[in-house]
Amino acid sequence: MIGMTARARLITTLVALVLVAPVAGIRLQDTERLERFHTRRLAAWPEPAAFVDPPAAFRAARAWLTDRAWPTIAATNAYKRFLYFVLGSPPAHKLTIGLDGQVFLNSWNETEPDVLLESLCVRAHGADAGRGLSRSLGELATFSREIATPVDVIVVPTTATLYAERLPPSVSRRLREGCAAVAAGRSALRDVQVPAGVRYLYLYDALRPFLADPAFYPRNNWHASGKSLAVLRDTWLAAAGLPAVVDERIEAVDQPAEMLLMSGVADPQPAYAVRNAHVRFDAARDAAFRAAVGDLFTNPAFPSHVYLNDRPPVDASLLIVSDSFGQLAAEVFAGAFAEVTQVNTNDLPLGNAAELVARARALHRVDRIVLLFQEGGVDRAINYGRVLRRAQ
Amino acid sequence: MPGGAPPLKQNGSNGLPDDMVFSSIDFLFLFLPLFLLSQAFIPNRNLTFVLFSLFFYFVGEGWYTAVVAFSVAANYAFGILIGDARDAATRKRVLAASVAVNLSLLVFFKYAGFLAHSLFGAAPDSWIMQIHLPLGISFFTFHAISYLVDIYRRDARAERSFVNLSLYMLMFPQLIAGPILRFHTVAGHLKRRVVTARHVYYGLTLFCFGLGQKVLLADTLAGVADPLFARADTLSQATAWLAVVCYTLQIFFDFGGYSTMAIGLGWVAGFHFPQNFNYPYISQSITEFWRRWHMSLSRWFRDYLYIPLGGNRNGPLATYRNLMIVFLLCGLWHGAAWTFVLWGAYHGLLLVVERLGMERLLERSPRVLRHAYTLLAVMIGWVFFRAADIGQAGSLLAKMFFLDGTVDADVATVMTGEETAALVAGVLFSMPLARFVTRRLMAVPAPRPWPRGVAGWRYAAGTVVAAVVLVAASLKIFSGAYSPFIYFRF
Repeated sequence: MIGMTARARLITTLVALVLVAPVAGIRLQDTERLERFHTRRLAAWPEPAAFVDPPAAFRAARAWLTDRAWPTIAATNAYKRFLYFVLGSPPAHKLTIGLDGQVFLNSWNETEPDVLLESLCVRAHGADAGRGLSRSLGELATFSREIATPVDVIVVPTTATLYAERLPPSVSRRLREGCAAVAAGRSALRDVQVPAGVRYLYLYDALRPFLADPAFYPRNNWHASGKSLAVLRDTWLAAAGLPAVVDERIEAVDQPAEMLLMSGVADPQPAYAVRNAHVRFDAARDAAFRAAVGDLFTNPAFPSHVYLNDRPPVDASLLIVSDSFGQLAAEVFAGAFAEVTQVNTNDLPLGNAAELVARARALHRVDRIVLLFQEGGVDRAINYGRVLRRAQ
Repeated sequence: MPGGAPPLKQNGSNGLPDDMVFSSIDFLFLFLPLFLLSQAFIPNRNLTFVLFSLFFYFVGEGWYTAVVAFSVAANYAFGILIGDARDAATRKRVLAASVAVNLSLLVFFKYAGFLAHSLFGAAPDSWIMQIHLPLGISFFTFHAISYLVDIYRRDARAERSFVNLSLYMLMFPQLIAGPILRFHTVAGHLKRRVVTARHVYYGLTLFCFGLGQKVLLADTLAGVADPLFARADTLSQATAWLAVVCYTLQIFFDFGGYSTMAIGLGWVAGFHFPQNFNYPYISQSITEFWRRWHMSLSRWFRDYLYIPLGGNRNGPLATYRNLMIVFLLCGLWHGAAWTFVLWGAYHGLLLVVERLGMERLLERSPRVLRHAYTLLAVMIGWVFFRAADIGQAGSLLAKMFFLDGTVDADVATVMTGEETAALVAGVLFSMPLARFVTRRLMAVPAPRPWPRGVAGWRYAAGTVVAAVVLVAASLKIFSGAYSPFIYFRF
C-alpha cells in the first residue's frame, strides 16, 4: 500500500500553497516597474517552435519566470540592505568595498567581475590608447576646421584612479598596480600628442588636490558631481581661454551614495550641490532635440538635457556629446554658457555619431562642441575622431 | 598531459542554468509545490513521481532523456533475465553482459573523449570530443549496476513493475547527484509506504537546512574560492590557504546540502534515503574520512567492487592493490580528467600508507594531531580536485607550502563581511555541534525508531528555524545569486 495520512496531506498542501506564492503573485507585479528594476526589457516567453530545443526553450521560460517572480524587488532590496548594513558586504558583485569603506564599481554587470577595473586601471592608460587618442585628435582638429566650430575633448578621471590607494587586496594586484601607476602620474593619457585646432584635457591633476575632502568627488559615486564638476568646468574654461566667473553657490549636502542606490541601498554621504539661480532645464527644447535625433539611438529612452542660462558669463551655445558623466556635468557647465545641450551616446551606434552632431547643429546654434567621457570610455573618444572626420 | 576538471555546463545566454536545480526559482516555487500537491492528491504516486522525474530531467537534457529511458528499459529486461535464469552460470553471463552494456554507455558518453585525447591526441573539435555528457549518467549507471547485482546475489527480486524500476532509477531528488541508492534498501518502499505528518515535517525541515547549506554557505564561500583559484599563480601563501579552506567548506556544503535536500524530498515522498555525509571533517584518519564522506558512494564501491575484488581477504599486498584500483576508479568516476585520477590515486595511497602502519602511529598520537593530519591531507586532495589542470594544482600547492616572497594581501581584506560570516558558520556547522543543537531543540534528524512523546515545542522550533533558513535562502536566490551544484558535473 502506498498512501499519505490526512494530516500529512494537509501539511503538504499548506506548504505547497505557501511555496507557490511567488509564481501566483506574478500578476501582482508591475511590468514597467520590473523593467526599471532590472534596467532592461523582461525576458519573453518562448515561442512554441522554440521547444524543438527543449533546454533552450525551458531556459527561456525560466528567465521569464525569474524576471517576474513575486516579490523580486522587495526581496532583492531586503537582501542587499542586509548585506551592506549588517554584514558590511557589497550589495552586488559589480561593486567592491575598498579600504575605509570606499565603494568602487568594478564591472558593468554581475557576471564579469573587474572588467571595468581592467579598463580603468590598465587598458585606458596603455600606449595603444595614447596613440589612438593622438590620431583621433588629429582627425577631430580637421573636423573642427571644416565645421568652423571648436571641438574639445575632456577625459574625466574616476574614483578607481583618484582613490587608487583604497582598492582592496581582493582586486588583483595587477589592477591595483595599474591604478596606482595612474595616480603616480604614469598614464599614456597624460602624454597624448595634441595637434593644433583641438583641445584635449585629462583632468586628473585638477581634481587630485581636493580629494582629502570626502564630499568633493563623493567617494561612493560612480559619476563626478557637485564641486568636482565645477572644478572640471573651471579648469577647462581657463584652458580654453574663457575665464568665466560663474555666479553660483556650492552647498554641503547629504546625498544617497550613487553606487549603493543602484542596488536599492540608501546610504547618505557628504557631497556638494551646485546651485545656480540663472540656469533652468528647458523641457520644450529638450523635447525638440529628442524628436530630431531620437531615431539614431537604439534605446528611445536615451538621456539628454537642454539647459538655458539667463545671465551667461559666456554668450555661446555648447553641445556636450558624452557618456553618462555628461548628465550631471551639463547643468554645472550651463552655469558658464547661454545654452548647453547634452546627449548621452551610450545607446548611439558609432556610425550615427556624425549624423547626431549634424542634426544638433541644424536644430540649434552650436558654438562649441565638447566630447566628454570618463577615462574608461576613452576608446569612444578615439573612435569619434574617425567617424566624425569621415562624415565630412 | 591533458587534464583538468571538465568545465561546468555553460549557462545560457541569459545567465541561467540549462538544468533545473533545487536552488532555482522554477524548482522551488513551481515544480516543488506541484510535486507536493501531486503526492498529496494523485492516487498513483509512483507513476506521478516518475513523470515528474522525467520532466525534471527533460528540462535540462531535452532529447538526451532517451539515454536514461533506454537505460531503464534495458535494465528492466536484464533484471528479469537475471532473476529468471535457471542456473548460476546463466545468471552470471547475463549479469556480465548487462554490466558491460551499462559501463559501455558510461564510457561512451563520459570517457570516450578523454580516452581519445589521452591515447590518440584527438583534436578538441573532433566529434568524439564533442559528445554530450548526459546529466547524472554516473549516478544512474551505478543505480542500475546495484539493481542487477542485488538480483544476482538474491539480495532482491527482479522488479516486475516497470514503473517501480523507473522510479528507482529516475527518482528526481537523487537522479543527478545522488545519494546513490542500493536497490535492496528502497525495494520495499517502492511497493509499500505511508507518508505521515512526521515524515513531511522531517523531510521539509531537512530540505530547508540543505537549501541553506547550499545557498547561504557553499555559494557564498564560492565567492572567495573561485576568484582565488582563477588567479592561483599570483596568490600569496595566506590567500592560497584561504582559497583551499574556503573550497574545502564549499564542496562539503554544496554536495552535503544537495544530499540533505534529496534526503528531505525522499522523506516527503515516503522514501528513507541513507545518510550521505556524517561530519567528514572531524575524521581522525583518511580511513575514517571515507566512512563519513559521500557514504553512499563509498558503500557502493565497497559492495560492488572492493569486496568482489577480494577485499582484504587475500593478504596485505592484494588489499593494497584493491584499494588502489577502487580509488583510481573512484577518482575517474568523478570526472574524465587527470586531476581526478591523481586525486583518487592520492587518496588510495594514503589509505595504503595508513594500513601499512600509520594508522597505529596515529592512534598513539594526540587527538589534535590526528585531526590536523586528516584535514591537511584532505585539503591537499581538494587542490587536485578543484584545480583546472595539474599545472594549476602544482602552482597552488607551491604557494601553500613554499614562501615565494609574495605578500599580497591581508586575508581579512580579501573577504567581504558576508563571506567571513559564511566561513565562520561553515566551520561551526561542519562540526557535530549543529547536530546536537538540531536534535535537542528541533527533533531533526529524528532518531529511528521515531521517538514517542517528542514535545510539541521542538517541532515548532524546527519549523521556525527551517522557515527562517528558507526565507533567507530565498532572498538570496531572488537577488540573482546562482551557482550550479558542483556534483552535477559527475
